[in-house]
Amino acid sequence: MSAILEVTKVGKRFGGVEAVRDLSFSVAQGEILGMIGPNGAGKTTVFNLISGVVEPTNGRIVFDGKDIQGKRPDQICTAGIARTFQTSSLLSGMSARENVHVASLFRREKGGRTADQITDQALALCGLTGIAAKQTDQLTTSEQKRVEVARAYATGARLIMTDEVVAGLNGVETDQILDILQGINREGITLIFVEHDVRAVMRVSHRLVVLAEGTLLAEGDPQVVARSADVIRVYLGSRYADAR
Amino acid sequence: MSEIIEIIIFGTLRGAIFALAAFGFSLVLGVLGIVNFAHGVFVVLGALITWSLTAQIGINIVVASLIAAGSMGVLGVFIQKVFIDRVFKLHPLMILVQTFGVAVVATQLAELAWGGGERSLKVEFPGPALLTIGDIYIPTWDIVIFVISLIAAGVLVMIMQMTPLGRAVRACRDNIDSASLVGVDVGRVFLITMGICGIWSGLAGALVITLKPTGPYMHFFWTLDAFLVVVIGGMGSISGALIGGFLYGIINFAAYYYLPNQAPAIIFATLIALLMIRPQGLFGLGTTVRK
Amino acid sequence: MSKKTMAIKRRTFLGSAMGAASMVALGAPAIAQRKTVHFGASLPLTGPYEKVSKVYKDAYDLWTQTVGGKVSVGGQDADVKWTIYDDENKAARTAELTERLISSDKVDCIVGTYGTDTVLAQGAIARKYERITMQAGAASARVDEQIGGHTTFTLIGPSRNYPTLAIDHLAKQNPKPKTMAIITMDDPVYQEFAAGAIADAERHGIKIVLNEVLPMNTQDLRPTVLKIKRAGDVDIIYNTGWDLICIKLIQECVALDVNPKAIVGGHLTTNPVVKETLKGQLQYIYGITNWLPQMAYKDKYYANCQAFADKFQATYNYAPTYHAAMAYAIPYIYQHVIADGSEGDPLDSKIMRKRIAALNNLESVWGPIKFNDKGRILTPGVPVLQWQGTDPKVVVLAPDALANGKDLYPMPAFNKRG
Ligand SMILES: Nc1ncnc2c1ncn2[C@@H]1O[C@H](COP(=O)(O)OP(=O)(O)OP(=O)(O)O)[C@@H](O)[C@H]1O
Ligand SMILES: [Mg+2]
Repeated sequence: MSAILEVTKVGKRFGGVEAVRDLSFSVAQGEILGMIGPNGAGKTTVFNLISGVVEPTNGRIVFDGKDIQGKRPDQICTAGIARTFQTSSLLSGMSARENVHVASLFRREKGGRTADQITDQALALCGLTGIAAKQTDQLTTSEQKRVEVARAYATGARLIMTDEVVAGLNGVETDQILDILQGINREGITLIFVEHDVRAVMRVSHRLVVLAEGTLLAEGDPQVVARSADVIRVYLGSRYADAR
Repeated sequence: MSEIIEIIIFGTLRGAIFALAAFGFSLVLGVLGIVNFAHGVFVVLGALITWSLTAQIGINIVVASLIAAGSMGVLGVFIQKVFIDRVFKLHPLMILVQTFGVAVVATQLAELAWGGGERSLKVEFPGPALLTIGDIYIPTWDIVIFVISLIAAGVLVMIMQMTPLGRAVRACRDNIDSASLVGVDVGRVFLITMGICGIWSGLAGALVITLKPTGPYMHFFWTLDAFLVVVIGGMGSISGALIGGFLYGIINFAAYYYLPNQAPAIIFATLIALLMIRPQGLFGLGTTVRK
Repeated sequence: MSKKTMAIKRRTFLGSAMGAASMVALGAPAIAQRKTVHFGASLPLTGPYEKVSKVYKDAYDLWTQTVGGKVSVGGQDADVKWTIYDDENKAARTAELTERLISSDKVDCIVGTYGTDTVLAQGAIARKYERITMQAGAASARVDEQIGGHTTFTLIGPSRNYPTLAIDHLAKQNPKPKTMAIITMDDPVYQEFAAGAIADAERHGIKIVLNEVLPMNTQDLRPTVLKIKRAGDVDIIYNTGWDLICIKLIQECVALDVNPKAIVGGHLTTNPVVKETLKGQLQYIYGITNWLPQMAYKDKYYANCQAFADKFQATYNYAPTYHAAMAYAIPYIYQHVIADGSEGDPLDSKIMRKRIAALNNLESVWGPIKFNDKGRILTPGVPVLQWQGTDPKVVVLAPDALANGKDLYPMPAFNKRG
């Protein structure tokens, strides 16, 4: 399996905070890479770095053989990387459909389809056809999350990064969205899946990386990694700290 | 009673042109999040270019208006590319200062070209000069301008609702980061927004000069008017600006009718009151203030 | 108490300075040689009076060009030098700039600014230094009351009298006008115009049905004209405002089909922009003007007003308004009084003041120059004109001495002119 994304010795400082430090990992074409880590570990920052929202202080990010660090978000998006947000980032003045439609407008490969066809397909894939006309502020959390996914999908991305896409959902809703993601993955789209919900991570991930304090703590087979003593200590430790 | 009706009719007629001049201002405020102090320059230059093309070169006024509007579109793109874009990431105050500077320089240049005085165009319009509704006389030309303004508003609404371009502009108005992450080239949208702003404001200018004498120095009044329209109607939305324009026209007309000497104070007091009751404007999209 | 000491000190000081000056005058065969005569002024070059300020500035400049940049001071040639600041139409700024003109620039002749409050501020400072100023920009009676005669000489007639000839003239028309609406700009001078117009109208039994006071930056005259329309029968609409107000007033009268017997466009209908904009609509409109190129005044350099107007037009590429002739006359008068060195330093304020006050109909393109004891020019009233013809031209109707045509009265309705 060849790597679609390679992150090499990437670092990011925010003033005094070193959010990501000397981080290297790669994602293979077609896999679902789970990414876990305690609060503040740097997961969202990694997404921000890859998607061009923030520029790395140092290091290289190679997507599909090309350097993308320092490129603008829209350039990275049209190059083939899309993401969802931890907190909803939907366009509030628009309907669910329009949100997805905007995403389909600027994609490179339309495969002979119109933006409308792409939009409809993305909506159908995410089970949104019935509520496509709803304004975003009238959507349930679950619907919002699925619009985010549909939108990422509609950009024609070959790599989609989801940031806590099941947070706040109940069991049924979680299963629904995981099914959708696995369906997307079956089309050959690579996923990076950031999640606190360990059950969800274990269910979908082919491989797992664990971040702590901006660096890579462990990586490998999900079952093995999750049982590693380091991971349990860091992860549970932080969970307890949260509880306090 | 018919007094009030007349005030509402005339205020609304005037309001249409205020609205037309404010659409671009509202869009730029919504999308780029900036208050463009050079906004009125589009209006007065649009007016003066129309004047030159018609009165000096003899081009048909319809064509002249379109050329003037188009060149204001180009100017909008130019101002965005050469000035605003360069300071966009700096403090918002810098953009204010800069657009103010652009306004001053543009006015100076316009004064070199057209002199400091006012110009105006008289349009010979076939048909009766006045229409009567009951005992109310309404100048036909005012109605023509009103209709043109409405059509221009309609076209803009269609562009915003139906075209990819409009979607992209609206996406940026909502959330720039989110738009750029689904592939919208924000820089280009900014350019297009300023271009649209220039075109529509330039068209407003082309109409204005057929209504009243217009000189380069008047740019600031237009910036202020556009600003007030947007305060009333709420920023970012075209229909908000349209209704804001009508209301502003009526408030303005009523104030100058009943208490002319206190009119500026009354207008501002009304606006302050409005802002206190509904800070986002009557029809504001609400969430988009960035700078 | 300390104020008193100061005053005494100042007087002593001035006294000895005077003494020194006269000793020089006695000792030398002529007064100390002057290489330059320095004229100083401020003008509201930015702000609402920007345009008229430019006319003043150009007229001052035309005078300098006309005299070839040199004047005679007590029989000796001296170069003319000007310092003109922008006072932004702010009184405090004008005071500060006048201080600067007197104390650091050391100007010899202070030339007026434009606008009542600024002229008063300028005069107050000049008075402090016992200097004189000559101004053409403030018609207000407050100038006469506060600084007239001792400090300031004024080349423009009193604003109270602006409308008098016009209203006297209209009152004689047949059918006699019975009602009048006035448009007043919210500024002291315009208020004085309006007060004058109201008093004159009432003297003739003409009823004021509306006196509409408008803010200075009024953009739209339609509310005003609608109000006039709704006021019922209005025989005269009298505009005290400037050219742009006149234009908008007439445009709105046309738009709403408001047809009084006469519209008086005010004192600036002869500004070119008015006719350029209104074209045929200017027909039948009355105006008043202190000055027209057709008038038969002259000075040392120009055989008549037309020659002056032509020169101005050729130099600055626009036709001069009355402001130009008036502004040009200021340095011209100074030039006249400083040429004579027989009574000591001709640039000394006391001597200048005495000579200006003594002028007895000095010929100028602005007309004969003679001041009353308040320093106000003595004028016979402001002539009345009417625009006539489909390509409207000025016809002077009053006073009789200047009249060159007959009234077209009452004005036909705008929509019945074919
Ligand atoms: N724009 C920013 N400016 C300053 N500090 C930031 C910024 N973004 C992130 N950080 C800091 O970087 C660190 C990593 O944050 P990040 O949001 O990437 O963690 P995370 O793993 O996504 O956490 P969570 O699980 O809570 O979402 C934190 O200490 C955070 O405060
Ligand atoms: Mg996060």
